[in-house]
Amino acid sequence: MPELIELAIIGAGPAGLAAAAEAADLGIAAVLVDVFGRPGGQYFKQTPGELAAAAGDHALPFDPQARPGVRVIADTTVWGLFPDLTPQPPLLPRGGESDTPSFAGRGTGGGSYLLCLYGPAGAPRRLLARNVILAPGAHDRPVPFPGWTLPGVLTAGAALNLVKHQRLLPGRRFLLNGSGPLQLLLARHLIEAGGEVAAVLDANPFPWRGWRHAAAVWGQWERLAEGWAAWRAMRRASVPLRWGRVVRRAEGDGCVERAVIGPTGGGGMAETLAVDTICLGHGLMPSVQLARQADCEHRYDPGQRAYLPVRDEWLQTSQPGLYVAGDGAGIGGKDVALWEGRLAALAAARRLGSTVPAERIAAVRRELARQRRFAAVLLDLFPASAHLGDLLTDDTVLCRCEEITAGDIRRVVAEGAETLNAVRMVTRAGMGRCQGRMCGGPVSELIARELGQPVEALGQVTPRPPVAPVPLEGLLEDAA
Amino acid sequence: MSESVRNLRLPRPPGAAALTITVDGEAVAAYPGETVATALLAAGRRTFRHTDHGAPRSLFCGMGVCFDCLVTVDGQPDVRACMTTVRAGMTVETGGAGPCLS
Repeated sequence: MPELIELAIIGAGPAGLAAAAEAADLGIAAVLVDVFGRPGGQYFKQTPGELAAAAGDHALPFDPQARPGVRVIADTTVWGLFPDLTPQPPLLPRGGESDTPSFAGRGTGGGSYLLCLYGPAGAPRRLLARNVILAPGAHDRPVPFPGWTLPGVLTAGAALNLVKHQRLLPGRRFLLNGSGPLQLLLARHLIEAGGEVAAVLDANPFPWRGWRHAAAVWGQWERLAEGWAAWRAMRRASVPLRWGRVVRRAEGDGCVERAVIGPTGGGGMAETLAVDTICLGHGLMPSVQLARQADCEHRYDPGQRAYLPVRDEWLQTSQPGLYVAGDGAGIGGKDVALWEGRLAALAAARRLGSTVPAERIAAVRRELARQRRFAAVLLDLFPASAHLGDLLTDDTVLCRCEEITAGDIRRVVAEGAETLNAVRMVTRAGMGRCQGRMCGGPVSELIARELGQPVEALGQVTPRPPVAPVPLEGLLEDAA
Repeated sequence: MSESVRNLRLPRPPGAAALTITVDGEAVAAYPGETVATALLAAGRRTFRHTDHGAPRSLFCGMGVCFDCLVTVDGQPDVRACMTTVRAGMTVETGGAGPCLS
């Protein structure tokens, strides 16, 4: 019988760390599971001490390892999350108001969740949790174009990690292709590390409407200063920032040697830039695999171009006691994630019967609302708008794992496949090691385009455990 | 290893001592705290493997999601180079070399 715990928090990025801190303050014994060896996630990633004297710009907001009451299970993949069907004794309230789930529960009589883990020797393989806060974060949104699988094309997140935390310049002459302020930040880091940045392309037109958001931006001085510093670094290095431009294809013999760029919508003059590295920063995609696999209801959000878990005002999903906080529920950035993590922990505490001060709830909600207003500005100014369907030649790979091309997808759609599941079954797109994290968006958008339908009409693929690859031996309940 | 390739690394802290790993039978210098991906890229190697169709692949997402950067580490196949920290004496086999960054 797996160990039964009160609260499992999956992911030790901003949302998960904040949730763990809040839970610890309330005296709840939380277990924090993370796939990385060190807590921090992507935003608060710490540079290994052997590589730099300073750990990075962003100190951990909370060190879970230094805090009694939080148990950290590091280097561990959660590959399955199942509503537990075995009956459990009823939850005994510890005093305080009881929680009424806002969703008519599709949950189970068991009232807890089975977590399947795979980590180093000694880490548990199974846990039963009465409450689960998913804080999975996000990954860079893949926007395919011909040549994007060549060595030398990498995500903006990968490049930022390498230059900041591995202290390595991942190329010599860079082209940044994407949208939004993260690209400016990356450009600054690459320039300061001695890289040459040929240009920064933003797929969107210049955001003239920015002045309308002055009220929501007021007070966000730290971010404005960061943006200003990045802009100045680019000016000093004479790096052009070109609006309404994207990479149309990458070329080279065995690795990137050139990029052909042009206006985002197609047409116009194409130009060729000699670069050895292309960074893709078209915003982020929420990691919804575990929430999907646990059968939480999801809806397509056209603004975010992603399926997002449906949540109530306590961040609870359609599964009682299962919460999602941070970018995994829709891209909002690290401050939204921090406050959502806190709110989810307060919600779980209430559900466990703890007394939660009303002032604390109000304060967390107030700050979360403020941060969400700023996140909405960024989404408005830098929408995930780069639809590169025109660029996808029939031999462009969409599914990097299984090497399924745009032509393969177009062919099965022409033959009558009308749902994502049908396309996946015929082509294997999305069945490879990444489990559709890379190709899911591009494939569904190409099918929608071919059929002339909205993405949400195609249905969703059924997520199957394991949601991330683990060795066969790793599926066993007890280590072999 | 040429001077220009070594320069891809930003300065290491004073006193940081390199260790040696073996990549496809060749000794490659790396620093503690680096991932296998970093050690390969710092040596100018851009190709980590070839797909079933013979296409070269390298590091792509850098955070353990895409599984493009797979190499064989100490005999264990399909290890993510971006998620694996180097150790002295580690043996790495890639899936075939490609053009290098000079």
